[in-house]
Amino acid sequence: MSFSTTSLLDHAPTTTDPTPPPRTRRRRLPDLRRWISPVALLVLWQVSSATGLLPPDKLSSPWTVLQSGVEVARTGELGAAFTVSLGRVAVGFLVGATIAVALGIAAGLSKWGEVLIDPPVQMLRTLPFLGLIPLFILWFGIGEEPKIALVALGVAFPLYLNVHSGIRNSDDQLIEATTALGYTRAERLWHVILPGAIPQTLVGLRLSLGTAWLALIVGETVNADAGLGYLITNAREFLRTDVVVVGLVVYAALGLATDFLVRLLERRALRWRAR
Amino acid sequence: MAGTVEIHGLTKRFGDRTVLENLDLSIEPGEFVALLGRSGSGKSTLLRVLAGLDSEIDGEAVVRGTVSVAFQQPRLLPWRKVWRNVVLGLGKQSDDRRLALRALEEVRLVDHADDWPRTLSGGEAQRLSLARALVREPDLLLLDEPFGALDALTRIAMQRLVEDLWQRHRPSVLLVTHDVDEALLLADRVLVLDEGRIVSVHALGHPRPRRLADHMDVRTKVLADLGVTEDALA
Repeated sequence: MSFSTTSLLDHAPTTTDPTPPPRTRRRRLPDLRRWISPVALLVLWQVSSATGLLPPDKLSSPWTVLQSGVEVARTGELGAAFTVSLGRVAVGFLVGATIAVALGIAAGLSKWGEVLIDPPVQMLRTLPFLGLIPLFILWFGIGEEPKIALVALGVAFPLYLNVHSGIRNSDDQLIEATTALGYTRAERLWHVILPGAIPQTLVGLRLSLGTAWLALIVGETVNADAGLGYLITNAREFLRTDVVVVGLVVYAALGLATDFLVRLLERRALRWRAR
Repeated sequence: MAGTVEIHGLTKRFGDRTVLENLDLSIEPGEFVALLGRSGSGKSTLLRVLAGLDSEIDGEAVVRGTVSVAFQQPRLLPWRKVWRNVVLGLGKQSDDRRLALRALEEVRLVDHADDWPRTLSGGEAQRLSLARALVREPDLLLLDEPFGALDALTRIAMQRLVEDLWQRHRPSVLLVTHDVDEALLLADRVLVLDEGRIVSVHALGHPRPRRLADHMDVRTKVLADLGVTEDALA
């Protein structure tokens, strides 16, 4: 009974209360029980491999994967592939993001920009961009260009949509208030509209980075002579499932790492949102 | 002496609907005017015209000097610290923290100077909005139902604060409200607006700080102008 009373009081609206909520940084201990099933699956995998239930030409044991990982890392094979793939994502992302932000701002700010830019983008958006690979190979050959173009395309759409709507949904009340304070159009853009679009833009950034890795994996797997995708397809030729898994794990780690970076950026740029 | 506000024959139409009709009004320097009216009477439109937010008008509306507005919602930039929201009122790229702190001192928010606006309570946010308006040293302070969204106790404190700040800085004030008692407590002159016309003007000579009991007679008249009679109250 006393429990429910306290929780009711905790949630009572406190508009008259002048003290802001206490800023405690809660760092909850991880719930170790959540590790039970992943570890059990890993053990099951290892046991299946050891008993021959899971043949190595279908899937290598976790232990073999770990050993191969250390091996390809030591020979420099992994490092080289990693660098090539990271470079492709970086260049593709820069190209795609530049285009997306420029178009998003233009469409968000001007009526004509909206009318001219938004319809074709919305139409192209419905195309499954990974399906464009055959065309890209015809247009760009099988070098770096089609992979970079694929990444750029994957990045551009989610980022454009979010930049555009971030600007479109800027707060009219704030714009009016700064107009009354004598702010010019350019000043309102800089102090109100663009900062207001940042949260939505960061959402788009996270989405687009996720798509960037996906686009890269597909692009590299279809044809490549270097990079992580090449490492994987090459290993497949020799039934080296251990190396295939190593490649996949590195892809996953890279995806997680970029996501972590964006979260870090969010926490920094959106400090004002924290309570 | 020229008034801070001089309005002659002001008419404002939205399509074929006339919101303000042939309005005349002047506000003296340092005068506190309250504008009462029911919803849709045109009072907010008049305030927007004076704030320079609506320039498509017929007639003449001249404001001499600097204008500041405090809205019903505080309209703070959430991504700027409290003190940076104050210097927003100084315009351009002002970084004058000293001025900001002085303005925050006046609204008793100086302890929150480095907080984010989202951490403020409703009353605090509204006080910050007032500080932002006053830091400009306005000749005309426009208040658009600035206490409308606050709870009753905070509202009383805010009314006292506004009177206090007005007496210290002496801007002309136009307070738009639909709270009759608030208007009677604060204003030198109470105007009642109905369907775009000023239907009555009541000058209040009572000494300050005022007590409601001193002007129950005016209160009855103003309420009658607004269409609320004693019978309806009983």
